[in-house]
Amino acid sequence: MNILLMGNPNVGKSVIFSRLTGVRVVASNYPGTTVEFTEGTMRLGEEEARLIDVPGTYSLDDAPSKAEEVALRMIDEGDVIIDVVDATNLERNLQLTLELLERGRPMVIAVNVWDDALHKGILIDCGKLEEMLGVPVVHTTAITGEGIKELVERIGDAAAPGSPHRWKVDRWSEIGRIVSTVQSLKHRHHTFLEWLGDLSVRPSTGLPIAAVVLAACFFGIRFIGESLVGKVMEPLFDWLWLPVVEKISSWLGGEGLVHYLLIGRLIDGEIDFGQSFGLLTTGIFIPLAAVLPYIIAFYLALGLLEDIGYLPRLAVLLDSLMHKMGLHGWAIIPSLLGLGCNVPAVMATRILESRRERFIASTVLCVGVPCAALQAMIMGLVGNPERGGGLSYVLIVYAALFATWLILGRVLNRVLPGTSPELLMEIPPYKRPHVPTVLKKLWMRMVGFVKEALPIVLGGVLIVNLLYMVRVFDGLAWVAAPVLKHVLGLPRDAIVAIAVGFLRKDVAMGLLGAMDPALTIKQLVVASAVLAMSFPCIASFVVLTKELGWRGMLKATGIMIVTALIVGGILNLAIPG
Amino acid sequence: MAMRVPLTDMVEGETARVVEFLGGRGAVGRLARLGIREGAMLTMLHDPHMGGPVVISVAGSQVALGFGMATKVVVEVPRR
Repeated sequence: MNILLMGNPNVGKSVIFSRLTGVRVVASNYPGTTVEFTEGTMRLGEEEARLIDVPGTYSLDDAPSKAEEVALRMIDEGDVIIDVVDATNLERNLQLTLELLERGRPMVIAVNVWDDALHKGILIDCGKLEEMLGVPVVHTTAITGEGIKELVERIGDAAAPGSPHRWKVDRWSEIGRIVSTVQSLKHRHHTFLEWLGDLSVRPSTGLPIAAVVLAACFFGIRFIGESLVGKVMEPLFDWLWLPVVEKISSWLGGEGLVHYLLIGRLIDGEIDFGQSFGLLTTGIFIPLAAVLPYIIAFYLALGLLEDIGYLPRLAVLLDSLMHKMGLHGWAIIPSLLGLGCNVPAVMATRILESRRERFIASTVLCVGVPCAALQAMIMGLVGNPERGGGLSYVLIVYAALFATWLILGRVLNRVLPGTSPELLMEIPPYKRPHVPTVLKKLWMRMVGFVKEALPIVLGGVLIVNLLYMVRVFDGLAWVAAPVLKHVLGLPRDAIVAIAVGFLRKDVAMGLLGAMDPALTIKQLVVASAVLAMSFPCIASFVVLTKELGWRGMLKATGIMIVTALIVGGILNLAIPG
Repeated sequence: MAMRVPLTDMVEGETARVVEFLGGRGAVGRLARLGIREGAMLTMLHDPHMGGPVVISVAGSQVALGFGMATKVVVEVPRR
């Protein structure tokens, strides 16, 4: 038996889904994650049923969106539909409900977000609604689990309405009649969350709030990341892993090909996790000890912002700014995701309608948005006082990247033919974060990072060492030396790091940090910016090709290289020292 | 007497009835999904700020519209 879970976006469908199946799934506010559907199995008395979480749908009529097209096709596969309705927003939600009833499938209605509706003074007479629609109606509060058991019990009573198409003539007046019969409103005061929601979307108060939120995230992420690296991961590596690799090193005799590949160079006769550059030393250390802590910190912050519903408000606030880049406010979401990893960020540009928007959005994000792995290494190297760095130098890198993101977007908007699209979206109310959902999502993203990154980092370290041995880099360095020296002020060996950036940017930063003689702080700043902006890492490269096609990808890559050289050159001239 | 104005001319706190759309069919369909349809009552929550988006309350939820799209929604406001 196939059971379809359907409803408008942001009605808590995903939480009901995870309650029914017992398997927790991604539940958040932005499009992109809900466009793909999820399925699971649920127990229904003695038998097992297949439960499908259909993408959020406002309506099945008139020019449906991609997600709604999918939903429309799924209806034919469903034996029973569970229609999830937001109790705080009955009028608009009933549009889909009536459309579904017209299709004559057996249906049960879950009136969800019941607790919030009560808080807001909205009372819905479920018995009367059941009578009027002719299908079972159950009220639920998915977050607490209230009503879920009853919902399951009543799936068996699912009914198909007697006369389909009876509302086609004037659906809206029918909805008006239903709402006025079953719903009663009590006068009440605005809640704190509504007041906050209001403040954070109004430009005069919203922009300062956004600045505070983003700054708090930046420093919070840096603090958590730095603490995890310095107080947890580094001590753990020194305590547990160092003795192991030291033993392997002495067992291998401290030199030779295998030692070089596995352990790397000994720095003053000792293993240095940051600089030895062997598979078992730096290759393991970079992803797990240097980068993973920042991944955890970043996705914790992002997950909380998603779950409470802050992101749509940021999109409204930044709409005017994004228009100057030929985009609308929602296009900030891919760039924000890019601060974690550019791969999901480029994929998230699918939420944008036109090809032009997708090209601009993915190009500016690949140029101006450093991923968490790269940022972690930038914080570790450019922010390191022992290298003459500090927060001010880190901020120079960020400011340069942000300015480039903004200016490049404006330039592309001028140069590319076409017009800017318009923002149109619902702003869901703020809600308390559902901690299990946030943590589960964080866990999935962490596991995803380790699975994706670890093999590529290890492969990258291996390839770098092999290429060093066969002296491939010497030729490359000879060709690139004039540009590096005169435009960017970098030593010729830096080309190795920049080339390795194609594999993984964190490994590339690691190489910059391990260079001998050591780079000055100014060179580190220039090199970090160039590394961030020049071509994408191989994983982003693949999705970029998939999303933009070969020609689009080559165009984007060309833009990236030129931009990297220009901005790198400017930084080289502008920074004293 | 009521007055027909574009949505962008409404001021904060004002409530009006939607009477006409100047946009294409696609835009009308997208607006209707969010409850912005002919005859619907809506309340202006944040009027446009230097060509920025507007935020309105309609059918029990809050909706943000880009400035350009908002100019294409014609509403009838009570005489001021």
